[in-house]
Amino acid sequence: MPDAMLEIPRTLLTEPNAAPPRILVVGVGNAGVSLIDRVTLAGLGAMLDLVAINTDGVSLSGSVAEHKILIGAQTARGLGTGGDPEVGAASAEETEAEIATALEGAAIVIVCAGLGGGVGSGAAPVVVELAKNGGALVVVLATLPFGFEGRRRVQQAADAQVELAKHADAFITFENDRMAELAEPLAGVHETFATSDEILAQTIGAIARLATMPGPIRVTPADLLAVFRQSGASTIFGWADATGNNRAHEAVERALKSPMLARGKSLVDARATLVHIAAPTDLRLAEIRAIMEVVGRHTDGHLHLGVGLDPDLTSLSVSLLATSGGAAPVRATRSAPARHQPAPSPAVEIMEAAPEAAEPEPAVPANASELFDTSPYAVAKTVGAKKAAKPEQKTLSLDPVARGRFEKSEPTIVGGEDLDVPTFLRQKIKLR
Amino acid sequence: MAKDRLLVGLEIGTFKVCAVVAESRPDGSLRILGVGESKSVGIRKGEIVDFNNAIQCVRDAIADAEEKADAEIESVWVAVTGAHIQSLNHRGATTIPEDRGEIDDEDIRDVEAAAKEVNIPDQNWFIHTITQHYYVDNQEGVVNPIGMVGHKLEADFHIVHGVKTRIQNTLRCVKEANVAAEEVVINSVASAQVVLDQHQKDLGAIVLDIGGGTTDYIVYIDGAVQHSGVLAIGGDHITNDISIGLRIPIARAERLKTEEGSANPDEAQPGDTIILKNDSGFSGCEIERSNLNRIIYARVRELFELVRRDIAAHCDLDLVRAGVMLTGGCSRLRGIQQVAAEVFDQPVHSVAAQEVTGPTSVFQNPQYATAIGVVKYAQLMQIEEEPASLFKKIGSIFRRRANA
Repeated sequence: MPDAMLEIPRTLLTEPNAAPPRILVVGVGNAGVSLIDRVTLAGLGAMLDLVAINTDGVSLSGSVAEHKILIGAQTARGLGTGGDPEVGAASAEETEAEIATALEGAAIVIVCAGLGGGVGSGAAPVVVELAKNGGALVVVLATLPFGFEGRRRVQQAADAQVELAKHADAFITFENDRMAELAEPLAGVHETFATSDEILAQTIGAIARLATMPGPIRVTPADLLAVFRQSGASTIFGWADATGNNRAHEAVERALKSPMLARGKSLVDARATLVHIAAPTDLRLAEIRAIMEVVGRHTDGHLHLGVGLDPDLTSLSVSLLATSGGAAPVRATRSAPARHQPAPSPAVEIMEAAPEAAEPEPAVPANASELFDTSPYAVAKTVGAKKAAKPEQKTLSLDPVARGRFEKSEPTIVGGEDLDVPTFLRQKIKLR
Repeated sequence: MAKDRLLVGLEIGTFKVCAVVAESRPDGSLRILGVGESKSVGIRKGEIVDFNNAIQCVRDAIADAEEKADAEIESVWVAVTGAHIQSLNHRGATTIPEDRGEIDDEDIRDVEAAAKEVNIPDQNWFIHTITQHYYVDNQEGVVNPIGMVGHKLEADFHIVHGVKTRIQNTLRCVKEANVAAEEVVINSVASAQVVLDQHQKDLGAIVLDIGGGTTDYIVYIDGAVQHSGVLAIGGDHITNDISIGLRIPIARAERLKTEEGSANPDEAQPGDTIILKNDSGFSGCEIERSNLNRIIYARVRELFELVRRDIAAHCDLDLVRAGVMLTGGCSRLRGIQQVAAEVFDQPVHSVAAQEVTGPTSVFQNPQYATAIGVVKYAQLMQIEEEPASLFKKIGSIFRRRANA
């Protein structure tokens, strides 16, 4: 029967048994709660569980989150903390049990907070610790205050960063000071804040998609851990999507230009980079290769690849997650930067190519934090593997683009097109 | 004072570095005394990539100019370009104190400062704030508000900004060549000073300065700068395309472009060939003229289309009534006007510096339009500063004190 024949590929693709891990997004404090609202408005609410945590009852009642927890009913009496992190921390500890119940069973917890204030700086570390103790992979997404908000808030934010980094697996910060640069010069305050919120909402959406999306190369929480592994490291994130014929190239170029990646410059120091490609089912292998090549040109760290396919998507999107800094046993053992060498492309570890990924890989412990503890050995091993693999990875250097004398100069890119490449080549004008 | 009247404009271009020495006459006219130049080394797309070589080029050009003009050069005005330069339009406003009511030049400075309260990236500098229009108490079309009575002064500005360090590098390069730098001016603003007359500015005009590494453009509408920009594509790209497309060395491609090249694809008959003689390191070959022209046409047309798209996004092209002026070294390319006319659907003229006197071989060559423009700009700035100088400034400060 023709129908039955069609069924086979589809079941392979959708992986019926693979229940997506539960992702919980927790907004802590005013900034966190408003970010959660934006995530909901962006239509991501369906695949995420949202929890709003605040000491301020008024702010909570205005939120659209399905689950709200008023913390510190006694300590803060349903009001704000007055910018005091100690009040924030005490409030969270008072309501610890309720928070822990809310966090139960989540595979990944994304904690969003604006650092500098009372709740964000005080309560968020408590929430992160609880989530970590619950065995989840914890990603912290925090905004840092504006420089003009005063030394006290900046100091409180810095203290909170140290606290958060102790327990968080990944710590992504976003400096408010950079907002002005990201928005158009003439943008109003409202637009500027909207831009910043949008970037953060995109980050959450991309992390969620990355961990839940079915596809030929899936990313499990353990894979995320492999990228994040060391605490104390800072995490950078870039995301972009594109449609059209040149979508792969455009998406990756724009992702590299993301605010926190600074045109791929931050990737240079990255120890490990996770590249996740989410695309409609017509994604071609050539597109994956093109994306990996571009990313590879910017970093000589370890590359992890994830590919998710969804027939409902209309555009191809590329997310880049990378860790740099922190404890760096890797950097010491790393060979000289390879980005100046023309030919070798970085080793690409395809983490889980099996389409029948009903169960996580056998090597992955059920409790993600166990794997977390084995990190130093694993890191050293991957680096060794990379070094050994390098000579064999050499490919013919068939540079598809001829830039001639502009080879070493800053490229002139307009609308995603490298204009240094001769026009007649790009427009495919035939010469006799 | 006679020595003060000597103005020098320096352009550190991708193709050549050139210094124009001119004399500013009291009647406002400009006479060119001499032009020094040297072939550029270490400049790509209008920006310095090899510092030491660039310094040597500047030194050579300055020395050459000193010899030709028989004058000693102490300071220069410098033209800058590069893809990092951006522009935007912004309005500033200031309130005139109740007890004064009369607008003075302090208010003009205030309104300019207010317009600069715009977010530009941290690493950028303001290069120009060019006044477009003044408004006094919402009255439009005020040309000079000084001395007028009003409560609120507003002004639209065209603001040009660029990456600080790159401009500093240009200035360092000049300093290393042992001359002082007065001020910087972007290529398009400089060129427009000598390529356009007031009438054309009022009618509305586009100036396209196509150089070796960049194309600088500026749009005047109703006598004011409406938009400006830099696209890092120039004659170098055409040469590079030819070199890749016809598989000949860069130097050969450059010569072929200037001697034989045309942007008109219909010019060549089928079978029309150009024979390149052999040279050291090059074994000669025969190329199809139609191929050469097709390569040039594709690049030139794309260049104009990109510029047009950017201009159309910022201005109403219907308000440009005087047409498109092409200048810069690459504007001498045969057939380039037709391509521009095709894309812009406007009358197109290839022009060089006007309203200056001196050796015609200099000012009639569009290659020097920018450097001459820099001198003209310097002259205008000095004239602008003079009436407000010293006594008046002091007077205005005292008046303010008295009022306060």
